Amino acid sequence: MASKKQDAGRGEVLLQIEHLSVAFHTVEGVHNAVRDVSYTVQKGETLGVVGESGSGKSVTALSIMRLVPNPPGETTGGKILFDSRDLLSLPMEEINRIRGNEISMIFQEPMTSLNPIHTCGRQIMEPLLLHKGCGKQEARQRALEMMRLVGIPIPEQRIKEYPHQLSGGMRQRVMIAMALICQPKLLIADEPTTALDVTIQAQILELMKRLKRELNSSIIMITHDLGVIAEMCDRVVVMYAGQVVEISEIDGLFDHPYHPYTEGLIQSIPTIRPDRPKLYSIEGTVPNPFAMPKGCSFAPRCRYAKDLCREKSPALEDLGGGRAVRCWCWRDTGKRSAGTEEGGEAQ
Amino acid sequence: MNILRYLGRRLLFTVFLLIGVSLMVYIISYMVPSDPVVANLSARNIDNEEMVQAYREKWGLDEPFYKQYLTYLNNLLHGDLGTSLRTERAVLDDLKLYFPATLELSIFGILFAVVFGMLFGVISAIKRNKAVDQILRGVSVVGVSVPVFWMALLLLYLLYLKWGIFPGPGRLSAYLTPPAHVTGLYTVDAILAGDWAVFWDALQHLCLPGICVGLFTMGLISRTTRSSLLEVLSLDYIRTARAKGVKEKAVIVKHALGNSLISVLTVIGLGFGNLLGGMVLAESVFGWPGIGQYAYKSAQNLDFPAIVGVSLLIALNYVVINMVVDILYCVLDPRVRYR
Amino acid sequence: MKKIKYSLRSSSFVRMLRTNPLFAIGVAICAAWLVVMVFADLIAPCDPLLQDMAVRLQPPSAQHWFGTDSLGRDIFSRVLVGSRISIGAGIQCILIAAVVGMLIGGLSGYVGGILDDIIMRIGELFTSFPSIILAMVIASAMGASLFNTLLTMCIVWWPNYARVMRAMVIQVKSNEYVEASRSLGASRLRIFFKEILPNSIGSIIVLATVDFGNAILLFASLSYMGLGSPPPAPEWGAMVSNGAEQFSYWWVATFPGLAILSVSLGANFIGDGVRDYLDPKLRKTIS
Repeated sequence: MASKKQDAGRGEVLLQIEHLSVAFHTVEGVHNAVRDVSYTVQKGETLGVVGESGSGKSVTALSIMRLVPNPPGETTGGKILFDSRDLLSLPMEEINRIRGNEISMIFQEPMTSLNPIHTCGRQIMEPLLLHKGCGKQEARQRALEMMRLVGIPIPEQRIKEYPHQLSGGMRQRVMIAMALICQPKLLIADEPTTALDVTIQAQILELMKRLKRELNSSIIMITHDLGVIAEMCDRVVVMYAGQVVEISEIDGLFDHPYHPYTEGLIQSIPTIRPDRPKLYSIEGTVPNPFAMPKGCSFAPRCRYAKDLCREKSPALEDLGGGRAVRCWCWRDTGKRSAGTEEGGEAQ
Repeated sequence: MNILRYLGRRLLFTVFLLIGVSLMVYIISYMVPSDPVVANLSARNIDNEEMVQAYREKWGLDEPFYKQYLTYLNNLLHGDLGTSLRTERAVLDDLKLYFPATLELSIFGILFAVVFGMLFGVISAIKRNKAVDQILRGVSVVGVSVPVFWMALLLLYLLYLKWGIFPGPGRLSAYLTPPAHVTGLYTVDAILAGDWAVFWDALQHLCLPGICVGLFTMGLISRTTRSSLLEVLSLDYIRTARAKGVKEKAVIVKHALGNSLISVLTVIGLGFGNLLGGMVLAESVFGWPGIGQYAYKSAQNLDFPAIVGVSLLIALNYVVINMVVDILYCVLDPRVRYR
Repeated sequence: MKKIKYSLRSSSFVRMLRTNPLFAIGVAICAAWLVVMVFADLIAPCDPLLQDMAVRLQPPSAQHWFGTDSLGRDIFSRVLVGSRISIGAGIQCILIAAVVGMLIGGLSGYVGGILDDIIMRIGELFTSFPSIILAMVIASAMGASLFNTLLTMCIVWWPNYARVMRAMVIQVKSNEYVEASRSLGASRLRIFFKEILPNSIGSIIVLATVDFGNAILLFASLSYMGLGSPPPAPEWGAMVSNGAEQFSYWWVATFPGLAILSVSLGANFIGDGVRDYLDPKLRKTIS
């Protein structure tokens, strides 16, 4: 498990999301994909954002980049402060100056996220040419350096090649090189390893960890895989059905999850321990976005749910020490969880 | 991609196409109930047994089918397409005479179609669902719906007869002499001869028939450009480009357009076939002395040597167009190039 | 045209009518023409064949809405009654070509091998050739008559349907449930009618809708070139051709031309709507 790192400037806020709400207007109705989400990213830290697909974690990230397709998506409220500028109200020219330069993003699908008719070199160099105003020759030199840094062998050859000539892992390295070439203050990685083989996954994560140390960027790591979180992150934001349900330092989270959903996620990590052969899964499914349950969104799937949970939606409660949880009965979670686990083992 | 293999395959297909087309027309000519003799001899001569017999012998019409065809193929290999029953000239000479006019018109038509089709398509896609988009989409639907011959008459009536903006039928105004024959394309020959008056006049004469001929293809291209551009704009790598801070205009021009052109190319190839068909109609309305009119008259007179000749020419055109399209594919799409 | 209703559920048909104004216009135009086709005799104010040299080449007036042609016939009546031949030819051509194409394509895809190759190459031969010129050759060789022109159009048209059908058959053939029903001992014919046909009919209908406008245009072009029914019969293409001879009397050619344009426009609106609706699943098999 990752320990707290002594990064320079840690504790200073780089990005602050305040009460962000995003809605999608679809044929079936309005889908509130992100509901009142707030979290911060500090300088030099790696923040994990975890949740099932449809939990709003990617949409939040796309909002930071102002990449939510509109229509059908629409930001219905909130602020995103980056270096004391509100990204949501900046004019497009300003945003274009920030994108790829101060904040950049790596996407899930390395197979489709690169332009098939441009060479890798051209795509890696593009942010440099756009933002740093350097010449073609210099950009090429820096691109080669960057490609070497992300572990692409024979970059002089690869720089001329097209994406379809590379493997998935190589393409993701190209994506990373492209995202980091301007040395951004913030890197958003949206499921960067999901589409890759397990061995390649480990390599890419290792690479990102090393690069983060070398370039001292902050990272928002979006994933549904708690293993990745444990490997990479300093702090974690857990999202469910468009809301933040728990925020925690990495250390406390795995030992004492306060939200039942977090607990479920942790329990569903596959292990090879012989005493727990059965793969745990949270019962039920994510609620229909067009028919959200009254009260707590997680209540229908929650084994601790009381009448209160089904009646009234809980607020995000600040527990101090960088910890917050959105649950009426977080005090029970740990205890009963231990109880059920023992019960499970007894069977 | 293996160039030799590609060329070999193309060549094989060309041979297949040429033999297939000529055989097809030959089979039709053999099976038809109507008699070219009737079509070509006047009513008085039909009753004259000797005249009919002489005519049949002259054109080998009494030979069995396969023999006629083999003789034809053999002559074809020696560059002899036979003699037209109607004009009594060598078919090859006829084709040489009429082809340049058609070529010039079709180049003009396809240029018109590509330039305006893509322009309209791109504007439509960018201004999706706005008024401009609706209007341009309307124009392209009208383009694929309007009957060529009627459009030709309408344009001729309004722009020539009523308002006199454009010149009337034909390739050149009567008071001008055609430029010295080099390529057979009046506009090109006029430039080569440095005769700007002739060039300008020939260009004006090209406009109306060119628009008529290219209208359908323009609609097709504009529609395809719009839909494929919209599709490409929703793809992951466009999001990547935006995430890099590429400005919206550059996203469209540098990242999206090239990719959407790949599917537009297919349509251009398809549209060309239609363009040649429309040529028959447009040429007859505009009195354009090209292959289309030649084909029409040959068909009416059941002049099969000429029909086969025209068919082969068109099939050959088809092959050339497809090769050009294939080459453009390679230029545009590295995935094809490195296969 | 009403076939669309069967392939798409009627609820989605209604939704397309509401959300896509062009589709609605297209449906309205085509429905109106269908009514005209059926009741042409009742609506037409004059006998479309009645010649009256006293009123030849009259411009549009209260009595003759679209004017009269060179033989003094009422153009309005001729346009109305002409819809029967001109639209009817398009419908017949599409229907026959679709059925023939489906049979050939289905057979080709199902049997596969050399037969498949040969059939597809022949189809390519027909489609690589400008359809008007081919139709012109065949029609003039067999003599100008409505039947021959229709036959010609079908000869030119079937490969489109054969291609779609073949692609669908090959795709469906590899689906698991066909495998399953075959292992259960279902006969080939049964598989064809129970599994393959219902699965491919949707895209065939879409292709037919998209194609309908083109069929109308091709028929009009052929009839303009004098390859339709013999002269006295009212037929839009031939009427425009007649108008071309009376060039300065604009109404003679204009109105039948507008009729052709309106039908093919309506058909294209419907075709576009259906295509947009079914995107992107079917677009690949069609274009």
